[in-house]
Amino acid sequence: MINKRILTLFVLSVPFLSACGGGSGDSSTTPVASVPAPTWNQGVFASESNFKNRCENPRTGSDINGDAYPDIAGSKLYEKHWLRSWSNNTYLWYDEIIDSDPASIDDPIDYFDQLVTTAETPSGTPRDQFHFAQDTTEYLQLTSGGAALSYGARFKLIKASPPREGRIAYVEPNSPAADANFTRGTEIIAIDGVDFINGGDTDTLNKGLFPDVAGEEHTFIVRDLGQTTTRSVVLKAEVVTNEPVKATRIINTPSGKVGYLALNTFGTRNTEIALAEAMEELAEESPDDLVLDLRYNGGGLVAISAQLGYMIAGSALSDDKVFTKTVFNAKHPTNDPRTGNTLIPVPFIDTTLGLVTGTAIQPLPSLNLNRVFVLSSGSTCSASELLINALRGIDVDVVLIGDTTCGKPYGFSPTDNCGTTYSTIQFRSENEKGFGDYADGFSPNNAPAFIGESVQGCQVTEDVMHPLGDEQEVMLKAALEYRNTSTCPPVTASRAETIDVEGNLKNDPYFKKRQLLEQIRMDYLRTTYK
Amino acid sequence: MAALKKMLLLVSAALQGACVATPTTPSTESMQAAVLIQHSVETSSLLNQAVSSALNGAKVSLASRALTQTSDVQVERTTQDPASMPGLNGQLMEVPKAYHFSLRKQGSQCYLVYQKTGQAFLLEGVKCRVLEG
Repeated sequence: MINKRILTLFVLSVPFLSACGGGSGDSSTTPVASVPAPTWNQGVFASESNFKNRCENPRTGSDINGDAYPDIAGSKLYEKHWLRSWSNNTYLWYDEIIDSDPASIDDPIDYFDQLVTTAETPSGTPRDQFHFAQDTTEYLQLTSGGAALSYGARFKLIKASPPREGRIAYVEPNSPAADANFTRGTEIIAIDGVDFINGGDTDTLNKGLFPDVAGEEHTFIVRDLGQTTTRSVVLKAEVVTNEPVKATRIINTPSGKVGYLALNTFGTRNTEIALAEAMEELAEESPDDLVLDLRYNGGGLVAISAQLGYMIAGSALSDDKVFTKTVFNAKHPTNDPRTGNTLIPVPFIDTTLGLVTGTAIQPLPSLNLNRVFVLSSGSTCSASELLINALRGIDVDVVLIGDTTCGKPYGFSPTDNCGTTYSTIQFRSENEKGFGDYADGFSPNNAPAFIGESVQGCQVTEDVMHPLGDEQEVMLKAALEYRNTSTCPPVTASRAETIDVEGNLKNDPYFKKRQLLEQIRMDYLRTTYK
Repeated sequence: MAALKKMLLLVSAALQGACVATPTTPSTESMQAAVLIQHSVETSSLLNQAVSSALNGAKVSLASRALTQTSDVQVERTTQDPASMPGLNGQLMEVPKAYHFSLRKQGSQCYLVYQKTGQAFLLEGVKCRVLEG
């Protein structure tokens, strides 16, 4: 059996190793003042520790843990040489980087942008879409409960060009949108006096949809689902906490009980308890099947995904099995290059880990199922895909209902140097069977021109005309139908739409900056590149 | 983007200018657990400033309705993706470190207490009530 105690210690201890300044995890990087100015020898890479923390503008004072910043005087050249050596050591496709002279590019971030593979996936998508640098203070920004600035509503642009159609996909409880009685399906008619359906002032519309600061107010005219009249409401933006579990219920069918669970994130500590409680509620009913709704779940903590894997499959199927195994580049077959630790696969986890302070470690419930229906979209990403892959790895039948998932079988530890935090892909994830090749996502196998890893199921285009968990909701309805007849509804028109048309909200640069755009943009990327 | 950041800084500065979270060193033993009577943009700004001060200037964005139902709040590094990079934070092998704070009342004054150090921050102008039971 995989030692779950070791895993628990791993999960809980790593942040303390890496908490300082974004966490380099490199314990041997104390700079040596006498190191000479770096020079470039093509194809020859000195240890990154020779260049670490030698900064053009060293930080002074203390970080959020009270530890002094490790920076000492250096230069941009040192920073670029650190990037070069660090990438050569840890980047998953290090041997596909074209080695260029750090002195040939002035800005370290511009240089970092070059330290990436140019290879493409079979569908033609850039293989590495997750190469990113950000200011460390931004990376370390603190929130409570996954909170983010919004109205507490997720907008779905069913049609972004005139005549537009925009509706509410879901509402966070205890939020301005909930206070305004918005529900799934509520249609947007106008924002701040601009006609949402046909209006040309996309700037006003986007600024209304995606507020910039807390306290910002915008006037919406909306039409509630099933109503013919409209109403006006003023929404005031605030920092809203995300509720991970959006719906839990048991559906009684002639062929047995079907559990339904809508889980929107693995990304907060609170998810651990909320998910365990929801699964306990379902387990008490001993359902014959489970429909797991991950259409809005962009991932998060791998440990919680591994807990859900256990709660679906149970001990008989998951004990001694790998949930996910991290595979680094060929230089590091047995050890994590970031810590030096021996690589340990993540098992299916059968207890809570006490992620919420004050909660005890307790056994988790399980449904003991050998089949699960997963509702998916282009926003189903990362730790959600890890779950799909892990379950397939232990021969749990996964039936995919919805759309192709995002395709991110990769991970990394963002690493600070001189006040910038760099994210570069360092490992790929494999399941019990050693499979992890889903960079084009998982696709229902009835899609007319599917891409990615084919999974049995049905391509279904979401609408938002019924509540999540309602048996008439189009994706859940298709899952229940497939369960009974193994047939899919007719494939509807592709979600792809022409972006570059006048009046398309997605065309507006402002739109692309907004926080709530994340998942919508992912859909956009998929329809554009694939 | 630079203009946006500048605007945010200006708004933040304006809000913070109204009232300031003052770090103090009163005895926290006589303080009682409390919750906010009402949430507001100004209160949120003050709380964010207090947490930021406790954590050496970290950027903080507490939920607007934090501390209205419970007296404790836990903050950690955000796992939200940057707007320009969806999916970036979707596969986290590590659990971000958490920092714990509590709202306390002493007399008519409300304080935010950083549990690790016991440092209390006076929240001037903020109204809170002692949490029953």
